Amino acid sequence: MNISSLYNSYPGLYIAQSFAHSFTTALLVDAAIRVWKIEDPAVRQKFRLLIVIFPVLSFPLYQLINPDRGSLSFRLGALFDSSRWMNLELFPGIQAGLLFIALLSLTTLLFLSQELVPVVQHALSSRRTELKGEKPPDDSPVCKALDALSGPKPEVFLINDDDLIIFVTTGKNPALYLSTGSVEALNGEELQTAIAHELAHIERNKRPVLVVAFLLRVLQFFNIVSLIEFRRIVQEEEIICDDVAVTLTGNPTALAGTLRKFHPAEDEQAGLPEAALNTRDRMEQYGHSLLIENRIRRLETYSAQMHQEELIPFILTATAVVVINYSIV
Amino acid sequence: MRDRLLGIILFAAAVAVLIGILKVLNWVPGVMQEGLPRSYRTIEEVKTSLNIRVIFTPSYYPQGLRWPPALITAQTKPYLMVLQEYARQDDNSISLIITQTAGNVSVPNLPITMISKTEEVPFELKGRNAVLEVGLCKKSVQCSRVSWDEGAFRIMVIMIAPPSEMVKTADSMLSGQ
Repeated sequence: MNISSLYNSYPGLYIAQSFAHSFTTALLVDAAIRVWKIEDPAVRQKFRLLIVIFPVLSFPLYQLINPDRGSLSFRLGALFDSSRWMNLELFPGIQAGLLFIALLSLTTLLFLSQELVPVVQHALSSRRTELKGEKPPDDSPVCKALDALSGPKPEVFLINDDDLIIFVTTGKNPALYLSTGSVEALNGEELQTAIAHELAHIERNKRPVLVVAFLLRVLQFFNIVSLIEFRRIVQEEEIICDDVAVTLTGNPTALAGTLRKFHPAEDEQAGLPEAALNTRDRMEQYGHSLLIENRIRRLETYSAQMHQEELIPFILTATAVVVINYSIV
Repeated sequence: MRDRLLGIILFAAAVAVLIGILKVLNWVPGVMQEGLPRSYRTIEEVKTSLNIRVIFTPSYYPQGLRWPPALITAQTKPYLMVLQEYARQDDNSISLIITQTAGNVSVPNLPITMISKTEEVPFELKGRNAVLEVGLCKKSVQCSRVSWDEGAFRIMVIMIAPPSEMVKTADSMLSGQ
């Protein structure tokens, strides 16, 4: 296969440039978050969305502005020309572009196995299986906790299960599902914060930013930067819902306690046999635990967020992203 | 206010650092490997730098073209290619492009691209089997293209001009051959 002709074609140019654009956008966004000390998770999420959305559109947008961006004369004057690296001969007959294709293939495999297949499987299984639950009595701890919270209330269902389970279904008729095990394990305050967190998910799902981001991320299935950044956006979503729950309940300590009960520390899970977890599971579990620990620590030392000026930093960052990436081909 | 200003200064510094890193990253492949595409001032410089004995240039140019070429680029990696772009005297737009490549390889996008082809005629160009194509380029202007094999090289000439001018120009490239 001729690597040069692949990278001279429009699909090749799109892939190489969107990858380079997402990489520089990620660097610029991270710099902006550090420089302006952006701690509000909702603002951070807006910045990170730039990394997932911009590279999808950048190549066609720039080509519309200047169709000669792919020409040799433009490339020679560019800030960074990806084809110089792609054509670099690492060993006789082996160009660096081949390694890039290997990275793209690996990312595509990761995307399929870790994101797309699980999402499709989940969608299919939730269509097949009807969620079964009973409405709790009005004087139950669940209804009491829910009544104490302001805002619209979803339908609530109790699932007869000893495990700690709490989740919501979104859409036109959102519903909250709790297992009997979680109602027993959590005290009144903890139950209230857990429900508040789930209500935040319902409320935020009315503006399906994450769904749009996921669809755009699907288009960038080959892009490892988009894969990582989309995960960070989802993590920010959990932190945003934590903040909403704290605003509703005024009780960050109780929410931290709830998280601890739902996700016991790793040393408490040490009873599991080694063989039960493969390396990938262990890495996933480690990453997940780290995130939960961060959320718990943040809640334990919680201080109400001051409103942060976001408009000027965002405009400056977006401008830098658009201007610099124009000269990256 | 002070914090905001400090933020802007630090961000500008971060952008400057990123631009510096990108420039270094763009420069590194050229150091690691000779023969990657770069621009040259003259055809003679290409010949001596890349050790290419023959580079085909016309001795006849249609009126209105500026000499010397607006751009001369050449590379030997990943394949040999010499590209000459000639601009018009009045508006500086590229009006003639000559590529000389090792075999029939894909060249990067060119400033002149034939969008629709109206005619394709094989003809003999000083004993070579050449193909003349006539069509429309961007902004619906008439353009012509001639290509032929010259030993180990593939020559392609595209020009915003009628076919008669094209053939004269291509013919003059072989005047010394």
